[in-house]
Amino acid sequence: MKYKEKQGVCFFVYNNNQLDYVELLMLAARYVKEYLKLPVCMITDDGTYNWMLETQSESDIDAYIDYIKITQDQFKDNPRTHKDSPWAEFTAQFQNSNKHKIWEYSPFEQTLLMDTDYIVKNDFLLHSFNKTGVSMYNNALSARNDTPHNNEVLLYPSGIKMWWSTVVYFDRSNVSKMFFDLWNHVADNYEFYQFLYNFPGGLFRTDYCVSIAVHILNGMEESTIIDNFDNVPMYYLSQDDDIIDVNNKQDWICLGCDQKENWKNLLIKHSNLDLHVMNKRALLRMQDKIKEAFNDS
Amino acid sequence: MTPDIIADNGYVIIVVNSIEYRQAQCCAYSINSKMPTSNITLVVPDADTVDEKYLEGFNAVVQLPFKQHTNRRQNDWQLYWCSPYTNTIAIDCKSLVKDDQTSMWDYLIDHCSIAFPTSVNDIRQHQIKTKHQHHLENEYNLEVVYSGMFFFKKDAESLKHFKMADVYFQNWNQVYSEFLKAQHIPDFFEADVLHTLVANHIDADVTTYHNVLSYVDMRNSVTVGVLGKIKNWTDSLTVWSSDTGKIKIQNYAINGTIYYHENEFLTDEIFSEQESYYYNVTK
Repeated sequence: MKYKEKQGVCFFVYNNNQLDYVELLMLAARYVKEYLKLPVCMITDDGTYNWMLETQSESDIDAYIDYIKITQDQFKDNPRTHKDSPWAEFTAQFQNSNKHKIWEYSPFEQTLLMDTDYIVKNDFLLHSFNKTGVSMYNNALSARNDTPHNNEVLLYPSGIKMWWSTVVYFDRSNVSKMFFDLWNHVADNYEFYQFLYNFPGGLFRTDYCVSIAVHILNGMEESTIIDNFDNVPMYYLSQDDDIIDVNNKQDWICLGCDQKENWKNLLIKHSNLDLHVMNKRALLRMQDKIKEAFNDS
Repeated sequence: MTPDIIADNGYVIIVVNSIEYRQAQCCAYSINSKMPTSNITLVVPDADTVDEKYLEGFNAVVQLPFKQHTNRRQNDWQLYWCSPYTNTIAIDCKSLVKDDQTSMWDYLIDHCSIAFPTSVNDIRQHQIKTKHQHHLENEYNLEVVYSGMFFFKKDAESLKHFKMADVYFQNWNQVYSEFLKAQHIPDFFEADVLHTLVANHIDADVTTYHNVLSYVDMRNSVTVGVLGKIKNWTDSLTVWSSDTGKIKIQNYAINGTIYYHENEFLTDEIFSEQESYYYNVTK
């Protein structure tokens, strides 16, 4: 099969009534262009695409988005409760049940699929293009350097290890194809696998789908068929954390919330490392400052 | 006292009571299913009283030559004299073998007189650091060995181990008091601790490259590590088995040797599935 480009980055972008994923994409794509220098593909629906045309300038769209793929997928009802610090929460539809279709949608031979709240601040992920198969993170550290809650390390106590679908690198090898077929199978039989693997119910999480797909691909053992980005952890700001200032495009000042005593925060300067900003509203609050930082540089 | 040698290589399994006969038979089924030409000998207190139904899967039955201790593992020291093989792997009856160990045999015969695993794993194949291992290594500078499965040849080097084990295993209480501080003395007879003391005190090299004898140790899996502290692992962890001989615990496939410890693990269903797989493979 002929692909449009050798390497590139894809984002799924489906707006809901609470979060403007187009704005998140425009921020994430800026960082991709700056540090990875790769083409960006936006995978979206008609509504979100029209919203982008209304709200974003043509020059920005041209500068940061290289390919647009409009999908017609039907999504499962998947309400997700988001937090914006420990003191505010809201519920929004989370449209992620077609994420495994990236195999079909990506115009690239080698693809980095990223969530729009994943901010690239260095070129580390470029190393993955030298690999064959699939790479994902399977360990994470908060910006405070704390390990995540147990239910984000294992699917449940004494269960299998959790892999994050936040960033997925893949090529067009048979292993990759098998991985996405399995992801599709687990997503299609989510309730059965929930019973089998005992992960928390309620929200449809692609992290659980990929964790089970990896486990099955590994022959129900812990093995290394799927790469974990050389065991480098994924740094994240949790939904309880916040961004309070943007010094420049690299240096962000954040508040890291103490998970046990959530009224206590640690002031953190975050720079040079990629960051998964789970508190999306925190990122959106800083969008002007981030754009300004790019204009200044 | 030494029985005739009936084969070059084989497994021996000690049992002392009726529950263990059934466990040993299931262990023999599992070994034969993966290596149908294996030789396996059942070691018992009294060879004349063994119910014939438990002999399927075994090539021979031998009797403990000197004494019959009611704790089966306290009889380990007699294995040198009762094994009918030149090269022997002793395996605890509460174990199942889920892989073909032919290449392990080749390695052990080529490189070792006597060999023990120096660590054991949990179901994720992560190495377990047991409490007694921590104490014995840090407080006494001992190299810890585990003994759910171990190898020996009939030669002078391994004989030293069994001669010392004769004394230590029969006087295990005094040995504990002599060599361990009160706070580190186990509550019961612990074969792993006793074999560790013996191996270190005779200063023999009992280790192997890549720790080839390592196995999944279920009791230790739940006393340390991420599986949490559970008294009986069978109360909390889910076992999936099939009549193709496969065992999965908590979604993890068991592809090596598992030392399950708890009697409750070997349900009638699991026993009959292992038996049925053994018949399918061997008959």
